[in-house]
Amino acid sequence: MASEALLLVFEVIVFPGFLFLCLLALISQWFKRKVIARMQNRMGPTYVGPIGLAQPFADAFKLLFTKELVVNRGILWAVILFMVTLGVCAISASTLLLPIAPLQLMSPYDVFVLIYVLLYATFAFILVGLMSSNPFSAVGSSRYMAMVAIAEPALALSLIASTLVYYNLLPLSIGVTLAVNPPSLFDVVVTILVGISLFIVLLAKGMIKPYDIPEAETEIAGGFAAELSGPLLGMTMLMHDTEIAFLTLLYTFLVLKGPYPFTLASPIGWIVVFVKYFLILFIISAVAASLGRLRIEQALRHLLKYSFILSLAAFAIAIAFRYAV
Amino acid sequence: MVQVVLDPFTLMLVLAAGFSILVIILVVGMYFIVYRKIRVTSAYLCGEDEKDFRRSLSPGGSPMYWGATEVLRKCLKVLREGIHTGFIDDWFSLMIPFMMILVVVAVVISLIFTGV
Repeated sequence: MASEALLLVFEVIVFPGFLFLCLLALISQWFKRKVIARMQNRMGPTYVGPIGLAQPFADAFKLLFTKELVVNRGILWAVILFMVTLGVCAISASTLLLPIAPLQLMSPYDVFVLIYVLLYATFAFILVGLMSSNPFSAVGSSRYMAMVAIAEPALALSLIASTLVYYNLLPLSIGVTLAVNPPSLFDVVVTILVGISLFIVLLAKGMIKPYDIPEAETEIAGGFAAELSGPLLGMTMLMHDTEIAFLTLLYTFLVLKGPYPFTLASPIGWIVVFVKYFLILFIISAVAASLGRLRIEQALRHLLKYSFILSLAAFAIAIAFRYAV
Repeated sequence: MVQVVLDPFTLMLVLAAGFSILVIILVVGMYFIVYRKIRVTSAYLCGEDEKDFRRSLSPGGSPMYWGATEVLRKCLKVLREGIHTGFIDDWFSLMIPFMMILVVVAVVISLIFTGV
């Protein structure tokens, strides 16, 4: 019992929790920046570390440990810092439900736990803007709120639809759905719809082009992050990157079935997982480099048409399957 | 990879425990990092000076309100200058000690009446 408790603490703090997720998030940031730069005929991160690999680490270290925090009077910096830290911790704790955890936790209805825990980061992004006492930040937050009002239900419906497929193994368990190997044939139908829907949700929640409307630099001076500096900006960026890394990892296991056709028991299974992970990141980067920013009403229409309705269809098919079998 | 199937309540407790440990470590760490080097500048008020902005505040209200403002002028002045500044942190800094006093009073009264 004590050894299991210690293992869980290790998982939350080191692997696959906070430290691993930060490492993965910063490497993903480098990969994304490099791919986008190459597609736009630029060099991207180059000077710090081999092929610029240490650039995101240097940026994060500088913001967190060397820059001073400059805040306007009226900004609730302590509350923002607390909320952002809560968001990072919530994403780190969610990794215990992923199959890469040495001790993977699962339970009936754990999909609702995941949906709930992931909402911490969403609320943190909203509060960062609303508490910054700046009209640009408030506009950024209101745009983010408008987008997640559609993206969050789409995410929840997609996750529930996926878990409904394996209802007979364990009711509504995301842990079982992510770990099941090989996937069932029926899973393919639901997964195609969930895959398209979740990809758009990933772009919207990660505020990646064409959905980077809440942090539009040229239009609203950085949006919700306009007033942030030093450690506060560093921690917010870390939360942003860890959320993208976690959602991409979730996508790798949920839609691309993780190590399939191998298992995580063999090293080749791990290689397959990371190849799929970076493949998704490559597609995200290609989309970000190719498309321009949408207007907020266009983004909402896109999300409703291509993400929410598809997740609703996946949910309806999964329910029909559940009661037909 | 070992899979552990728990009941939903235990899963929530385990996740919350791991979450709390990480929160304590990171919040304390971040507080010490931030606390050493923080610089507070004047508020961003769309180009308006903060003094002008504060001078333009008025109690307002209908004529019925006027009597109360006359009688409780000093009390209202303290409240207005203390919390009606347009900054939510001023409101928090006055309300949190007030709430704490209320909690202490509630606990003392409940202890007296329950006879513990």
